[in-house]
Amino acid sequence: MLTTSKPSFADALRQADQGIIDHGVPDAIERRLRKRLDERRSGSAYRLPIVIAMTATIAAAALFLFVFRGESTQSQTVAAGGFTIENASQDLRYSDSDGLVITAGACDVVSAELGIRISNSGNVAIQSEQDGIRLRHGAATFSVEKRIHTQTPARIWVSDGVIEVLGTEFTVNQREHGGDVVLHEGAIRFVPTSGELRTLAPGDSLTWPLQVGTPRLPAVTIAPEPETEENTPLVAKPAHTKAPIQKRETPEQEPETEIRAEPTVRNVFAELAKLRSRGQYQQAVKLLRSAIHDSRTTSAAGEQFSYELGAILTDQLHDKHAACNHWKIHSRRHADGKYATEVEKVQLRIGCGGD
Amino acid sequence: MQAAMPIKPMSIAEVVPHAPPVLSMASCYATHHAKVFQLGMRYGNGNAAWAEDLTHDVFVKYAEKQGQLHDLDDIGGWLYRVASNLAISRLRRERSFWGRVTTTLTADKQDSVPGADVVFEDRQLAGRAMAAVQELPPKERVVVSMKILDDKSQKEIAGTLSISEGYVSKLLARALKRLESEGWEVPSC
Repeated sequence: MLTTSKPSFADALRQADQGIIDHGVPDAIERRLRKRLDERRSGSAYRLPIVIAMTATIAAAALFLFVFRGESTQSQTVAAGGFTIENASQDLRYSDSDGLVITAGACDVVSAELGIRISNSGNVAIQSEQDGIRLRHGAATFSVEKRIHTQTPARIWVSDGVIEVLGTEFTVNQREHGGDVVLHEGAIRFVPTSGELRTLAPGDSLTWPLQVGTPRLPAVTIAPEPETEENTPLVAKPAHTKAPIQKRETPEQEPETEIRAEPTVRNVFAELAKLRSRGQYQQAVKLLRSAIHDSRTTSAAGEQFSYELGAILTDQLHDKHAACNHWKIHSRRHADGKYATEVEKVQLRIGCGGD
Repeated sequence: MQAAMPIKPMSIAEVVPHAPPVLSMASCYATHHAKVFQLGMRYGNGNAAWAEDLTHDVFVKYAEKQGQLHDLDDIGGWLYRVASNLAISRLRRERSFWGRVTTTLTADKQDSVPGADVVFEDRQLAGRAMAAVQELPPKERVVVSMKILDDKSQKEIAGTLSISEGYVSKLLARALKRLESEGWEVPSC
């Protein structure tokens, strides 16, 4: 006689939930969330009645003048090393006797001289260097003002080298032994204490100490952004690095000096966010397809666009057939991509049949 | 080089002694966003965009209310409550708007879920459980998740969702019965 036992719903649901916990908050979403909340805050979208807002402002100003009478009238706190502390949380605790060590709370640490803004993610220790900032330990997100041709890059020193920045946003995590950097926007290069220089494209990450024989990062070369154009491409002509460029299928057709512009990731995502907020998902699909098929789009950016396209087909348009087709193509093109696991999960979730 | 002002370690609360104990948005976000996002993924059936929107709405709510929240030890509880209630509202809204469309598009969901496969058996079960939860009405979905995943008592669930314990019991019983009829072994209420 055959007996069958029913699967436990509680166990299965807990397992699914564990998968969600393990998944964490994807970096791109985390960054987008911060940006959305910042924009909302700066856009005074909280709709405080004007009278209350004005009263609160006057009261705060009066309190501030009362407390700081005769002292600096700056709204920021000045710390050692040429740093100013802005947007400090109530529970901020720090020491600046030996570099700047933040032990609790959140704030922005600004180096006006270097044009660098650092947002801490928990405890962090930084110190000023002659030509940059050293991250001694902890995780922080760096925003660097755009550099022009004549400026030297901003330098973030970590245990095994220096990250040179030309105007961008990225997160660095310096642990006791080694660390990693994830680039969100712009362009950076990593100059290891020993070994060859590495360059990163948006979406790339790099871990140190570098392993011998570590495969090269995707094709990226960088140049300082032109000083006049706001929306210049993130990837420009090969300039400062000996790192071999990942060749396309017809490399001989591309002269070495050609400027390889791409639709900027920032622009595409800004437009995408706009379309999403309006519920114009078909237009979003068109935008992403066009960006993916643009011959100037790099592999890393293409993977990001492709992932977003799949997400819209799956979750907004609920077009299972198109979504499954897309995920199949995505998996083939980006077999070892950074979204591989997530794509597999989505395929399973919506029931894409294997082939 | 700029002259550094000698500043002793201190907190902003020490600088402004009479400031009310308010957790800043940045600090609150840094501490709790992962948990809120996780709730969004849970209630949104693993849809990251949905979870992102829910997380956004929760912290917007926090920004609106932060001046009134002085129990800093229970900010997590407050966010949990807000996330759960916003999730229900959002699910309801979407159900009424998208319900018919999605039902048509996902009519073959049960068939399309892979059959018993030895290799991926565990993951399939997890996926099936998520799909089963997705089929539940919003309140039942949230109540079941709270009960099974967060081990909340009916009283706690009632408090979180501002409904009566009797109603929680009814929602749970209804949801579990439905799941049982779909072939699951379900825990008792």
